[in-house]
Amino acid sequence: MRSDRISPLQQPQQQQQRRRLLLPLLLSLGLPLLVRAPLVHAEDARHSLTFRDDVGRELTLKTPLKRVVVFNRYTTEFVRAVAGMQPVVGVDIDSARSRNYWPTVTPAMLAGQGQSSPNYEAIVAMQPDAVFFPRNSDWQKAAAVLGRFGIPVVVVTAWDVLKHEENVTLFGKLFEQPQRAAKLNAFYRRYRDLLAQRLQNLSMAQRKRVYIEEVGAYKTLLKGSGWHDMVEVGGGVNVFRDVSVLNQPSARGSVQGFSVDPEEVVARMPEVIVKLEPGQYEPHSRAFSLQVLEAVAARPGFDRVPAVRNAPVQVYHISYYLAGGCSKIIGALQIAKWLYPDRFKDVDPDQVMRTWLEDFQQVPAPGGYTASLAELRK
Amino acid sequence: MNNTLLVQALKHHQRRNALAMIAGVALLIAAMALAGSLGAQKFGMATSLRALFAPLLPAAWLSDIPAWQIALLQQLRLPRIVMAVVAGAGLALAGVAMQGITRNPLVSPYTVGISPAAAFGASLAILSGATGVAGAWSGLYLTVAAAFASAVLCATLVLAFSALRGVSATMLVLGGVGLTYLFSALTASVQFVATEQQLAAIVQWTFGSLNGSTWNEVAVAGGVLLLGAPLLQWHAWALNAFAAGGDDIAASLGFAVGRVRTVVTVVAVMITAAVVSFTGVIGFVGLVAPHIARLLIGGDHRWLLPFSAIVGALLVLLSDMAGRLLFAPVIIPVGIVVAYVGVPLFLHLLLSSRHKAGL
Amino acid sequence: MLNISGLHYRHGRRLILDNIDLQVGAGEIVCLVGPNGAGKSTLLKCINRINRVMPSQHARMTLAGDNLQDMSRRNLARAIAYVPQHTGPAMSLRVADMIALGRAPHRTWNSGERDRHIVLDAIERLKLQELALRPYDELSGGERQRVLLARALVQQGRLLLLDEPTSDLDLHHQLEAMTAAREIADTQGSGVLIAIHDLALAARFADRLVMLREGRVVAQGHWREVLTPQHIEAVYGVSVRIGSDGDIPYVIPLRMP
Repeated sequence: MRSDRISPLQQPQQQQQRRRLLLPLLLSLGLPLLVRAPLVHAEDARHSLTFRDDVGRELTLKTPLKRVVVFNRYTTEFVRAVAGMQPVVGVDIDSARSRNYWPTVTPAMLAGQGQSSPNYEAIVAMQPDAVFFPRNSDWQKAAAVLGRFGIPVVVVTAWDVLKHEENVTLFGKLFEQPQRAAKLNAFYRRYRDLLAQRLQNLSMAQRKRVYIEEVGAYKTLLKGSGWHDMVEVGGGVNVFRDVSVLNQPSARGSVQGFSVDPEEVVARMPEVIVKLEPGQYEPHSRAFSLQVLEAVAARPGFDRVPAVRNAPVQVYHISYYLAGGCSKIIGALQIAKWLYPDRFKDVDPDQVMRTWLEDFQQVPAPGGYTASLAELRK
Repeated sequence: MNNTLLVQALKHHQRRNALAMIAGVALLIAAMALAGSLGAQKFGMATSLRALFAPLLPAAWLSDIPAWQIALLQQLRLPRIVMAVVAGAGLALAGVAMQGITRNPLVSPYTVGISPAAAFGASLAILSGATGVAGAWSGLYLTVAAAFASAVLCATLVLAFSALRGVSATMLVLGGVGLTYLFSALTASVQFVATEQQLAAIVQWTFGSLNGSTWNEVAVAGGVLLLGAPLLQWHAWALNAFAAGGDDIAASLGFAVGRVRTVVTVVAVMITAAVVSFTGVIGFVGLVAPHIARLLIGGDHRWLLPFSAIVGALLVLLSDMAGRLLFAPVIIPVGIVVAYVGVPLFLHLLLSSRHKAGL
Repeated sequence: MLNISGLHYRHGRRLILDNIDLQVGAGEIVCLVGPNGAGKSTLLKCINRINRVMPSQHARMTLAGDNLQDMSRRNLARAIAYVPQHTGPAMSLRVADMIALGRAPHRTWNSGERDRHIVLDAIERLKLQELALRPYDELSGGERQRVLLARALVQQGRLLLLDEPTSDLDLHHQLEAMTAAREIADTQGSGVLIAIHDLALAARFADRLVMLREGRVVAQGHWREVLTPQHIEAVYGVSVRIGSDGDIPYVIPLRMP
């Protein structure tokens, strides 16, 4: 019960206060209207290509693309393989740092950390025809921001093994280099078909069980990850293939590095253990590989596991570079050779890698991207 | 000291405060101008100022600047700068308000878990997919609303906890640490059901970032700030009463304790939610800026509120500049830079409060 | 001025105050005495509605005829000034601003000038000029008490409630505080109700005493009527000798029976 009355002097004061709030509010909401619309690039005589990108967006670009910013190493590799480095004006920090692998990249080409934190100002200053993002990035935000400058964002997921040929063909069209794209696809298909052919009469029961581990101990790769596909294309069976935390197909790719129970690893009795090692262009030293692989073999309970128990012991080190190269087909090849040496006697994965690096990536091939514990122990 | 001397001293103090405010504002404007001219692309100060005010200037003055540079300054740099100011001012104000209500200088949106809670709410909004196309108004409002709901839940827990008898200041902060972990864990769990694009959007938030701020985001956050700041200023005396004596004293001085506490808390949480929805968690601003402001201008909230806002704005703006320039063009998220500044100051605060009774 | 009749206060199940009748006249100092837990502080908090008292048919609390229960918070703050026992660790506010808080219930958008005068006046009266610009939490106990009294003074209430103003003070400051209260009563014409431990001090400065025990009034009136050895032994369980040195009363505790 208020026996208080607002004094007549206070009422207009309150109204005035409210009015004072209105102006700043209107101002802040009206600010965006003050800014001008973006300018469109000058037209020049080029062809036009309409296509769908990896997430289903329909885009129309002028081809051939002459200036592109590329995020994600795998994508950059494909661009180099199909069109060379000439059209690439912007890269992420991974490419800028590996001087030996990317000899033509200058510091001025760095466009930010990369797909998770692009430097929009740097990108705009490079005035590219397109910017490539993989789907495991906030491409939506990038498209919104860069769209204001008329710079299109193209979502291409080059690490997606299953979309390899589609991606390469698209690049062939975007850079108007259909022959080189075809050559790369032929290279890929040859070894993919080779694998399929030589493994086709191998039943599920006959296939060897593989435990594939990421950098972190007991972090494995699940269905939906490119590394998983690599193992299975190589004829192995991922011991954790039945595990699926997610049931959305669109969630593929966020399955990198799931922690599993060490006991579970032992319980599933893998016959082969493949340890991924994040590598640069320069391969690891043998001493390093030996140290890592011995540590794996020495883990509690692992002595019961067939991979360690059998002779020769089947524990392998595989660098990202070999494994990831050309959509992991080379990695798959290497795994197939380890798993079924008789069936792949005539195949030399190192030689295939050499071709990939020297012919398609135009860099020398140092070799030594894999290590086998059995070999190292000798 | 007789009365005339006292009157003079009081007037002098008043003038000094006003000068400090003016200096602060001037410094802020200068910092904004500097931020406008520096970046991955360096522009001269004159060029950047011309580009920033382009809509108001005749075309002839701008003919030598390429259109894309003008667009870059207007669409990328300026919204980022304004967002930094809005975020810094907003978080600082929220911090001062919460500190006043709980009479605890260690309280801030970050240290009691409200920022992480807001981030979790926003991540849920993104996860729902209902936010639509990036940048759409409806999506922005939905995100802020979700962040607010989550933050209010956390704030209720915090307030209830702090109102219990026997809860010391350190206990409150420890409780906040627990809540921070809880909401961070909840946000991290989201990764199991998010799509890659959603995940990439959410993962950015552990350390706040101003990258890619758009005018729409600035408008929403700025609008909330422009509504909330005068409300808090209106309650400056109430905050003085709370800070100086607590609930009983404030009541005996005629303040409607329950209502003031609710309004101030809601406004503080609202501002925090609006900022965090877009920038992610920028910690320690709400703690450090009020502390610095108190050292410079004293505990009277009539001055403390606006001055904290200025200090907060400067802190975030300068941190973002440092993050942009130190390893250009790689951008270090502003939240990381602020933590480097904020944590030592926080520890200093903890240590210096040892001697105060009750903490 | 203040008229309380039939006041009951419950906290949970316990009856803390039972049927309190109490009056404080304008310009009068009434001291509430009684052992720990008698309900002195509680009573003060009931008067200024910090404790919520259930309205009942028989209980009435009026101040100059106005019903205290019906007043708005703001009007209550204009009418009653309250100086608590513990202020707790305050966040630093300057003394001048602490005192200015007392004008809060009176403040209107154009009262700045007048408020300033009143605050300066209070600073002068309680000799706080040297301390005016210092932060409150740097002050000693006695100085803080003066500041709180100054704040109560600027509130210009018709009733002043003081809760244990002398408990943490040394001899000098105890006298100072009580003298200030006397002065406020005399000059402003406010009624002053003081909850206090020290019986001699209470007797010396009060116009009337009210002795409480376990929430009930056991005696009220002039100190000679209230502070009798029988009353004190019944309430405190201590035998004493009471006398006066001229006008100044003294209470000497002898032993516990």
